[in-house]
Amino acid sequence: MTELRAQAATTEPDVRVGDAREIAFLVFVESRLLEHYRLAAVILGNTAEAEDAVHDAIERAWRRWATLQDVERFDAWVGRIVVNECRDRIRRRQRRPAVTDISGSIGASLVAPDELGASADRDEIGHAFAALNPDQQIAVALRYYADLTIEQIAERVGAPAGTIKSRLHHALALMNAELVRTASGGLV
Amino acid sequence: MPDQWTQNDDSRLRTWLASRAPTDLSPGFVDRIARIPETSPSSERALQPTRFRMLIVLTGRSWRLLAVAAVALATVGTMLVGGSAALRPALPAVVNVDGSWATASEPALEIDRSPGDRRPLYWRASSYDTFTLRGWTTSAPSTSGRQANQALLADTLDAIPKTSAREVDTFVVTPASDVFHVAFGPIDPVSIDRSVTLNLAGDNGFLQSISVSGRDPYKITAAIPVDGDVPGGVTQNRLRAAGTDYPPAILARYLGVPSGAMGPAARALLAHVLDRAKTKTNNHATPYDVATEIVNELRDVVYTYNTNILGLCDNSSSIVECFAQFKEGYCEHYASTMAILLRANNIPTRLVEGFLPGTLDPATGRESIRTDGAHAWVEVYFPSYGWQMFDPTGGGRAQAVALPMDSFVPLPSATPRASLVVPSIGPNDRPRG
Repeated sequence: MTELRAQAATTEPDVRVGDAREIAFLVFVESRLLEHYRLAAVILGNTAEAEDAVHDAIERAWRRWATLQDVERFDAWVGRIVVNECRDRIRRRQRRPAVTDISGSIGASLVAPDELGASADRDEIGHAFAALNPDQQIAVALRYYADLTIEQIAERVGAPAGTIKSRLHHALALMNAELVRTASGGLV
Repeated sequence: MPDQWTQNDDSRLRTWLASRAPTDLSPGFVDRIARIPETSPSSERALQPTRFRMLIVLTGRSWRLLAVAAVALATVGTMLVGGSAALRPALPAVVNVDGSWATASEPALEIDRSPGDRRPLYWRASSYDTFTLRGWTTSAPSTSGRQANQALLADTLDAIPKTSAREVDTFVVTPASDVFHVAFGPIDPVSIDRSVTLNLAGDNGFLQSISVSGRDPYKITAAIPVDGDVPGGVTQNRLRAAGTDYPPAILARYLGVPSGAMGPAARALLAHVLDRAKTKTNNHATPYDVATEIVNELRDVVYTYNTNILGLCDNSSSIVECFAQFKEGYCEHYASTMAILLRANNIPTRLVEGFLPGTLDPATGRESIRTDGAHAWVEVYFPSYGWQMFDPTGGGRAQAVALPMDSFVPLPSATPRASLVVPSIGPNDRPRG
């Protein structure tokens, strides 16, 4: 019996009698969870970090849920928090190595720890993407991975459409420059 | 390498980005997400709680629990109905168990029954052996495959006692949704016309549920306890006379009361119930007497069937203690309280989830189950008769039919009384004693 009790105390319930708010929140979250996770992994290039980012974003959403005025906007609201969390993580990552930019490339210190491994690190597109700043990376991911329109990206990140348009334009120019530089044998 | 960004670069970029996207969520990650509300505080106001009725969060391995669940997406409003077409099995979900929320009532199952069979039957989905203060789970889970039409319970600890009279019947169950992951059937399942995986507690242990997915109809055969004064049939006095010679495996698994499950209020409630059962039986209360007394007690009007008890108790204390103290809650509270009070009195119990009897069309023999019939109840083990169901939920929800009285059956030690309490049906017709 003692054993049973110990087991009962440590086992997580399969069926937990929950609070209606909790459940509603989780049901809302559930409908887009995979989508958020994939986008975060695309932006961050690392599934473990993507899990952490989405977790932290959803936790933040849970804490601030009461501030959401319009429940119909739940998905968009969480989507923006997820993207913001990714951006903060890229920024923190950039700050961590104290800018020892030996290659002279603006992207060299930004290369994400990529679980695709060394081969992916050598990937030209990967280097070009890593050369972008966090906002540019997010805009590119939303445009070329999530297939959002300029307007949808603007809504997702909370910036004017014009800003997104020029941000994407600069991002592609920068990536192109990186591709050219890589192809010409520049340091990577 | 051209100087301009090209369409080729576009597609290389798309391919590269897509290659970074993982295919699926890991169970551990889903679990972390599902725990967020438990582990962090949140600000108070959000959706109006009155719109949400009886709710159960499913976490972890609970996808077995079906999805009595998933359907209740409808409770959360129209936005979700479009948004979450494919509720993945491991994710938290919602059960709405209150009929008054009419718009949440979605088709769940269609069951074709034998001609003339009009018994109200509870449709079991899953049983649980371990109480965790906030809910129920399966300890030592294992699985075991069964071929189509092979005996399901043979070689498990849940094999039906040979001494128990059963009526074997078949039911063709058609899920009305993809969300169900287990088979439904009345107590106890015998076979099913497709190969399935049994989810068991312990190796070759006790049946928790039968994994079945998709919307294809399945034919389930069940052996239903025969009520009445026939050999092996179940009557009130026979269950009184069943004694307490429980199989050791039953005792090992179905008596667990975790520390903290019962506080002062639950202990007082148990003492009160035992006291009354003893008074009524001249100090010879049997497990059946205690069980019916608990049903009577919980069906009393002082207990309020309330699907919204937000904030009544904190999120860490035992739901049994909370219910005993505040006397307000829904089926999970009623059933958990009954199961734990009996266990505390060394009577083996388990919690069962599934659907209440649906609407039977006598002309076609087709029973329609809707999602708002999701329910939780209790099974109590009686030597020689096996598991017998009890539904303590008040508020008029329970539809359990009282067992028949019978001719005199001598009890091992006590003198049975002919006019003992019959489980009442509604909340207001409790025989006061």
